Amino acid sequence: MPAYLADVERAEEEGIKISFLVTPLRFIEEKGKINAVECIEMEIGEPDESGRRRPFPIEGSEFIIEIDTAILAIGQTVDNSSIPKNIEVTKSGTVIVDEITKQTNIKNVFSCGDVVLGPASVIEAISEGKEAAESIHRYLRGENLRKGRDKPKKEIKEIPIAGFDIQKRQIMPELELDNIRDNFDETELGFSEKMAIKEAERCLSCGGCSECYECEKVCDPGAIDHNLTKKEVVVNVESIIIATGLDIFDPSELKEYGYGRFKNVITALEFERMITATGPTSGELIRPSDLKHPHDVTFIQCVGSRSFTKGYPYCSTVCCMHATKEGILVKEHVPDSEVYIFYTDIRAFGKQFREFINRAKTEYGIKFIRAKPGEIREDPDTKNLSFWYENTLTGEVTEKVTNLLVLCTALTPNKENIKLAKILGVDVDDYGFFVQTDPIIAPLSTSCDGIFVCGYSQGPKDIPDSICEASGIATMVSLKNNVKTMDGDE
Amino acid sequence: MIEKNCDPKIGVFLCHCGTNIGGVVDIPQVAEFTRKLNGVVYVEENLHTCSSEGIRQIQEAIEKYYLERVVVASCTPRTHQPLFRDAIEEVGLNKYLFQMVNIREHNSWVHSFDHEAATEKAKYLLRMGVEKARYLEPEIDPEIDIIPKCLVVGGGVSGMTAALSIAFQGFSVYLVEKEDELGGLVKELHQILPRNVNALEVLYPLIQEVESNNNIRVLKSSIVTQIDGFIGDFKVTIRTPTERISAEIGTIILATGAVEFIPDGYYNYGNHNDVITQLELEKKLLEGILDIPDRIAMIQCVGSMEEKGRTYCSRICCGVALKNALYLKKCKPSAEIYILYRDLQAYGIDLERYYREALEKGVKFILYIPEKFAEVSIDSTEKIKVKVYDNLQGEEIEIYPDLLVLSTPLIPREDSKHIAKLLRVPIDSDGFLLEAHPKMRPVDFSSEGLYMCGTAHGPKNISESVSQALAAASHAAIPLKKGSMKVDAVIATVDHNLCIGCGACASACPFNAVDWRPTGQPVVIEAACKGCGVCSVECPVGAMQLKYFKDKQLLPAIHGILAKDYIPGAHESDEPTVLVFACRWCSYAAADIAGVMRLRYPVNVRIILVPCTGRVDFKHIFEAIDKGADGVVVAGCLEEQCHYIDGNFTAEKRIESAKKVLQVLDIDPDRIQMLFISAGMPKEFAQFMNDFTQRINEKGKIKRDKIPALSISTSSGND
Repeated sequence: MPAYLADVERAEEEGIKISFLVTPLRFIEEKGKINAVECIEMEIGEPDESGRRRPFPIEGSEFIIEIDTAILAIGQTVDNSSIPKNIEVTKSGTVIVDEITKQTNIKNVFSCGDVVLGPASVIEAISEGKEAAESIHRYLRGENLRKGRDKPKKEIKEIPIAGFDIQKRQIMPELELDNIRDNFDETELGFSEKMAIKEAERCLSCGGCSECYECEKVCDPGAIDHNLTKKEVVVNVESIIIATGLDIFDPSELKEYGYGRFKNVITALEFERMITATGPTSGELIRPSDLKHPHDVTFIQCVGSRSFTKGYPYCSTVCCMHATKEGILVKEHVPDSEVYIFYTDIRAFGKQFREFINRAKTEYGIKFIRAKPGEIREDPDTKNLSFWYENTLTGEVTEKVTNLLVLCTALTPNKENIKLAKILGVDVDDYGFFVQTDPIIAPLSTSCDGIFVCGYSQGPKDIPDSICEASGIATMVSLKNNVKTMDGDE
Repeated sequence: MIEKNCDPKIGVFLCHCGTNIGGVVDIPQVAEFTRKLNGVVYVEENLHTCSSEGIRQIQEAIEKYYLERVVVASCTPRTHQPLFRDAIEEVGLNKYLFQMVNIREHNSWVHSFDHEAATEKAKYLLRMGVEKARYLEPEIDPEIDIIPKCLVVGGGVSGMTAALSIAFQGFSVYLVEKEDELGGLVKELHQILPRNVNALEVLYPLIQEVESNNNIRVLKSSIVTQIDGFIGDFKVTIRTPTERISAEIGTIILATGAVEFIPDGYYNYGNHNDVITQLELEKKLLEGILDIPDRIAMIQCVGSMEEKGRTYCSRICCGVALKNALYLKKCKPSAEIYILYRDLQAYGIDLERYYREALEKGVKFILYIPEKFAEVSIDSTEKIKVKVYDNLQGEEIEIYPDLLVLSTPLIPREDSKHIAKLLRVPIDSDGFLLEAHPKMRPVDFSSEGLYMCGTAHGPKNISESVSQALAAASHAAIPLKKGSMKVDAVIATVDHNLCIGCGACASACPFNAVDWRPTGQPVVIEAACKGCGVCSVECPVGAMQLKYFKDKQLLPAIHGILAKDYIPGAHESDEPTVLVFACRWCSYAAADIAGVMRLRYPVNVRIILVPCTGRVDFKHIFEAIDKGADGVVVAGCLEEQCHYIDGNFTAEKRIESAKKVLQVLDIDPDRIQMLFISAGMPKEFAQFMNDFTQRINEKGKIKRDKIPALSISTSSGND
């Protein structure tokens, strides 16, 4: 019985008796009204030539079921009344066509849909129709019907399910059996909001956009437009300013930090995003694992920077300060929390930066520990994280357990820099930062006259330094004709 | 009080500023409160009012509800007011019909640990804004001409770079250098990071180019002795060895540089010829007179990163030590070099590479902490001994260097202070020039037409100085290029119907901007008036008023920020209240920075903006006392730093008189106090507020029911 199991079960629950291996023989009538049906039991015989096991009636097993209504559920066959005799068909009457071209044995007759496939879905019918149309188009133009169409079917990619727990379906709430027999009410009551969200959360998000346009509808500022296409624009300019900014080092490369494996290990940027009012938690500081406030937050500096194994050897310059700022934010969001910052050197060299660090220590009680943590482990129950470390100032070796671990990852050159440098004909260094002509006297110029560089595109730096460079470039651009003299190295 | 139906329609926009405000202040509650205020026809909450979405909402509301006044309660007007003013002007509302209320720097950031009290305070601040907005009037900005000349003070690399780039743009530049040659600190250097170029190879072409540029007038051995005026028209007096030059200048760049701290009293400096500073080492290398010894030690952070005083990190000294150590190693690979450091500031790409290279070349790095750093001693044979606890090895070691080099910080030059005083611009707690915003405006002073660059702003290397010099030149050239600009309409105006022709305004004006004699009726010379408001205080009949800070605007604002009586929902607190009249140039900014630094002071301090303390009249002080202030602070600029010459001193005199009146009324005169402070003193501001509030708390609230006829205020106020 090729019905869905759930339907079968539901039917049985409602009291419907299903008789398997039974064939009706005749209806019995009384006074012009149906009264009963006579059936015969069947048994399955040995496989025939086609390999199929055909059912045979069991002699003398006839029996009668009393009924007052009979509903016939019959199958479908091909309506061959309009199919010319000279078109080849199968035994069951469906038209034989070429699988790709939908061409019949007569070369200018094409066929598609149920007449070929037998009973099938609408989607298949549309697909077949389009293929047939394509063939006819080619046929009429005298083109090759097959060329380029013999594509192997796209392989379905393995859906990555690592990191997902198996989640059962939500069970659809239904009407009680007693309440369904005497009415036509919908028996499936629909999910509650909570259930619907739970069910939707099972989605592995493996697919792409299905062009449903719902996002366009709900975006108030009208920021989404599905009809935008890439355009190439040619503009004539005198100067070009490179301000491509930075990318963030992906710490999952460094297995020992557990990023990507442990839910409560996040990057500083993710922390910033979370603590922003416009972020996913509306500015609430929570642990990803249990959505509760962390009471012990640990920051680890130089993840992927100042590193000679994996990552980058340079110092990203701004992380000591942003970690300290974030530590203060933790204290402000969760006042009874403890904040630890594990550092290599505290690089707080900007104006009033040292003051800021001192206040973080004395007023906010943030603890700075000069240590490189060992491998991070996760407690499977609490999802807390722990690691051993040696405090290089005291020599003390201790274990630290924390609720939330924030990785201050290296800030890296924009990945597109190298491509851009090739287009512009300017140089990038080994890491992908743009190179200045002369870092001392012309820090904003590149090897190409009229192309300038500022901010993190050139190397790690803080906001005020980036702004100085950006404003400085404005001068360079307005002086473009005099740039050579400015450089001092004609 | 004006009837509600006559009031202009006021729209109020409350900013959550993400969680900066909304995380502390219960904005919906404040919105509810604001809705009940007279004249408020529209209240909206925004996540970020300054976002394009927020601006759009303001503009739509103006058009939809015919708003006639707009109040935004968010951050300080010192940063975002121009944005909002432009926004309302775009849809046809005069920009002076806008009032900003500071509930972030002056509230949520300084009171983040008491959400409830901060919410109550926000309501009072909002009411102040709404009350003032009700009486605002449209004004037109006068346009002034910009003299297309620039003054650059300081002839180091920064000053020269800035001067050159302005000169290249076709403007005349006065470049004033105190010493008898250009070059500043760099002329004493040996090599420059990051490519180890000889400093003089960089410097000499630059000097030559500056001196040969026709647009630059280089004045050596010269100092600026006087600066008056404002953007577009500064009157500058420069004393050169031969003459006194008077120049009219459009914009000014300060590049006065920094000097190396001389570590007298540190580590036997001065007691031994082989204990020297990094700069002295550079000089020896430059002159080629150093016979590189076998063992050299360098100590970092000598006189910087201290517990008190010079608490800052001087940014460049680690790089300098690395550079010199590498150079010495290159010249003499057998030399033993020790660098005693705390946190090695090898930031960025190049310095970190130098650090690695130094490690590879065998330079020994010893991590010390000040508490365990023992001593430098000199024995009878003149041998230097350094005893230090090596924190990484966990042991005390002794080094006997032949040469001990002390890395000392850059400190501001004395002239920086002098010129800052002349220009009435603030310096920070370390003595460096204070920029308008530490992140977003690193080359501007908060006063228009003044810019800074180089180490006068803070320690930085040459490359960073050059970038900043180009930035300063860029900003300073904008007004020069435009040729004219609109200036603030906040200037004096006179009502001739009230004027009795006494001439008090004319004699009070520090800028001779009131012309009184020809007609016997005062006339305000718009181009000369700078908007301090001293004249309006002197006027006995209230005929002379300062636009945007008229009595009829200030008195309701004072009423609004204090009075508990006439709006339902205001919270009656047992705590005394302190009202601060804050000058926009100094104390208001100090309070802003206190907010940025998340300093804390009591929530019963409320701040009201005035253009200058010289604008604060008796009637404002007594209106405050009458309406519920138990303490009043008038906070103005430091001595000789008043932007209007001496508004702060006239305020001080007035306060002395007001104290006498308090005595007559049997109120403790110490409830009123003058505070002299600069924008660079946020900690002092917070500290003063803590102390003063404590004193007022000890005195308790003023028992108003026992004092008859407190109010001598509003006669010339609301009309």
